[in-house]
Amino acid sequence: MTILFDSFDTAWWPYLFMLLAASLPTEMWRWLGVAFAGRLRDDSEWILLARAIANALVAGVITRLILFPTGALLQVPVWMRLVAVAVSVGFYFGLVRNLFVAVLLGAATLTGLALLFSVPMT
Amino acid sequence: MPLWLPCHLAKFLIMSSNKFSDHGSGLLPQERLSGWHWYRRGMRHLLSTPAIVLYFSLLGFGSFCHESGIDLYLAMFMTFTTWAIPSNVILIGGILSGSGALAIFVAVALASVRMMPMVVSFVPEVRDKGTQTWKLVLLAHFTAITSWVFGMRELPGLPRYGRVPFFAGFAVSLAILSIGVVALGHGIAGVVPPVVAAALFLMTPLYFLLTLPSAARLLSDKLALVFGFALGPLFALIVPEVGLVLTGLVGGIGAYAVGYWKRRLA
Repeated sequence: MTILFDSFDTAWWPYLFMLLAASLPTEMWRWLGVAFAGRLRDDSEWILLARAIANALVAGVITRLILFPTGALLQVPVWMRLVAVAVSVGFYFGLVRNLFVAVLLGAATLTGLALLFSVPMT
Repeated sequence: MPLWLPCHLAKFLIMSSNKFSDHGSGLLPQERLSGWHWYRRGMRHLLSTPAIVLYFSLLGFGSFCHESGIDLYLAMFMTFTTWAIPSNVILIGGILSGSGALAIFVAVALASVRMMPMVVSFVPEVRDKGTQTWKLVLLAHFTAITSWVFGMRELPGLPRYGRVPFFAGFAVSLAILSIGVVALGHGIAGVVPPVVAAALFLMTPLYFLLTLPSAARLLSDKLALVFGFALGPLFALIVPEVGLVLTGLVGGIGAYAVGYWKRRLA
């Protein structure tokens, strides 16, 4: 039997479903992380390997959030997202090292491009 | 919009905000400050750039919940209990497409593998001699990309004994505050134009893109970022289900190997 979000018509079921289907599979990796780290010395080579894997994974998540997003961002064409990212990155690393301005500039570029080319948004 | 926001915007525009304010502010080594002092010091970063960018994307997430038919209390609950936006987005996608609990579990598990190496590399930065395991388990729950980048950047500059309360002050308060921000986003859904909602969704990856290089201290860390950015989209297209896991393994092990080899040569 498949367990579904609307399997039970009670107030608490969505919460339990959420804990089982999303919290647990996220949390178990954190518990494993603490368990592994507890067995390692601070200068262990394994820690360096874990750092590298973590960085590669986080970079992978970021590219996904930009290229294969969810919600409203999905309706903005890929090239506009990439231009917005390029403007922000170029500003930050090339001109002024101000995070806040760089992030706002990227967001503004995206909004501007979408309005300029009148991208249909729902 | 709350009153403090314009003030802080102005403050951040004036001060170059890529450095967080107050680490290593010339404390005498023999001074031992209370845990509460460090906790409050962590809390001070609740209005730092990474935190504000996170609030913006949580506003977007709150609106997304509303549009997906997730009720307010469930949206607030999942924000805190999962404390990872990507996991919650996958959950909502699964619910909308009528997937079963097991299918969603597997999808979330594959997308959250990052938590393990993140926590493994984070624990040596935060723990002091004799830090109890339950504290680490608790802090691990509040480890998500924002707080991980923050911790990896800020903690090395602090005395060991202050790190657990400092990080808790930032990360735990951030998660609690975020519940309210998601509720706000849920409430303003439909008021915000979709273009702005799209821009909100872009802010988080943008912020990570800009700050990650500064948290990557070692050659292997930096290479891992480059490999991750290159392999992420590639693997996502070739092997959508396990693409992320492969990106981490191939990119991470490759970067570690190059770093190891370079260290041996030096």
